[in-house]
Amino acid sequence: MSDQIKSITENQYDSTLSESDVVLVRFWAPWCPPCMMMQPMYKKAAKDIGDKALLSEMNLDHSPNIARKLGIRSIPTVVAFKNGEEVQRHTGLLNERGLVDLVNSI
Amino acid sequence: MSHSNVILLGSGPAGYTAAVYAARANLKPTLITGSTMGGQLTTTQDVDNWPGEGSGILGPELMERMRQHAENVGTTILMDHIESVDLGKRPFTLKGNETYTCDALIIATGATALYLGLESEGRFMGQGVSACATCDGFFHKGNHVVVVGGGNTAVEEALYLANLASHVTLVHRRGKLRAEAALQDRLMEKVKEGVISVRWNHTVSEVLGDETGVTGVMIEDAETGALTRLAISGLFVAIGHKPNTEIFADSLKLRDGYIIVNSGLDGNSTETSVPGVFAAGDVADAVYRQAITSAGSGCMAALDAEKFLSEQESRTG
Repeated sequence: MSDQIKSITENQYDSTLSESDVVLVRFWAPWCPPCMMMQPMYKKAAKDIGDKALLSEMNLDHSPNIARKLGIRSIPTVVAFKNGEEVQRHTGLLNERGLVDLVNSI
Repeated sequence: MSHSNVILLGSGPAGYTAAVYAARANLKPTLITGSTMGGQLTTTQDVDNWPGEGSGILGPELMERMRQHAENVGTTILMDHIESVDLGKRPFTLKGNETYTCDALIIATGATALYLGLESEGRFMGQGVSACATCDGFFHKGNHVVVVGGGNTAVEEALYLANLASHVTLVHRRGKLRAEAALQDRLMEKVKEGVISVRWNHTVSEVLGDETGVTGVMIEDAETGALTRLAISGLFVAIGHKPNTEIFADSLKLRDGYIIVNSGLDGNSTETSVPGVFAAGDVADAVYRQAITSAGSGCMAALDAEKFLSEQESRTG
């Protein structure tokens, strides 16, 4: 993996979850100010997290259905998956350190 | 560890205005944004009372312009959130992800939205309970939602949600709104259209829901105690704010959580109980709390800090 954030659509969702043991999906949208604030923190966290997890994100303007399916009603929301199963979920802005702690706790 | 002449905490109108003035005074300020970059205005849709912007400006756009202005005149902007401070001796020490020191400090950490404090509200936080209509309105397209509160924020949120939701009920504990008249007029238009209804003298007593999130609220008539159940998908709480001063509670004099500043006619009016520490914006204002008053006090804090630093220099130099 790398320090890059993988931008995914609904079609790539299932395959992305199997790309790594631990996968984070961040649900966001451009009209959500805290989501925009979180963007650079998420990028920075990806560097710190390195190979421990794959960090991805999904824009609700293009892909609204997975968020609905997961029952998300507020963004930003980060859902952490281990072996394809949801293990943790955080709603609201999560900074770099919080993201690193989240991955370390899995 | 990095040292600055002056550090500004906060990235709302007070912080950025202080930064513009401090940078133009050649103080080479550092602004630490905090976790909510841009402050409360970033979740405000339209700002209609910023002088010179008669046709309104979007909150996030105004804040982005302030950020650029501050940066262009020489402010170093860092994204960090300070978690502890030592104001007992100069230079002051601030700790977040990194450690910082400074000779003068301007606190403009603003305020955070208050919640109702119900146990059931906490359970459904992010699952239909929200304090940001612009962020979460999307999830309630075509549904009935409730907004709680009676100030500008509550009315603005109700108006914003009226464009998305099938119906908006504004629940207010009094019989009269605190929101400014122009907003109340817009609200009453929507009430006439039947898109918004107002439940006067009601409070939210419980948030109802299941594993999918919020499904309803119980509201209580403040006079009769009668309970009404509303089927909704979202509860938007806009009942006010509390100042972000927890980390200063041990080092500065506060009143009801707000930082006490000198005020008065003798200048130095933004100085706190610790010389060299200044406060501006909502963190030291329980009354006015406007973007423009915050910006004004941010300017004053920068001028006070500049004076303080030049006096220090002439004393030691």
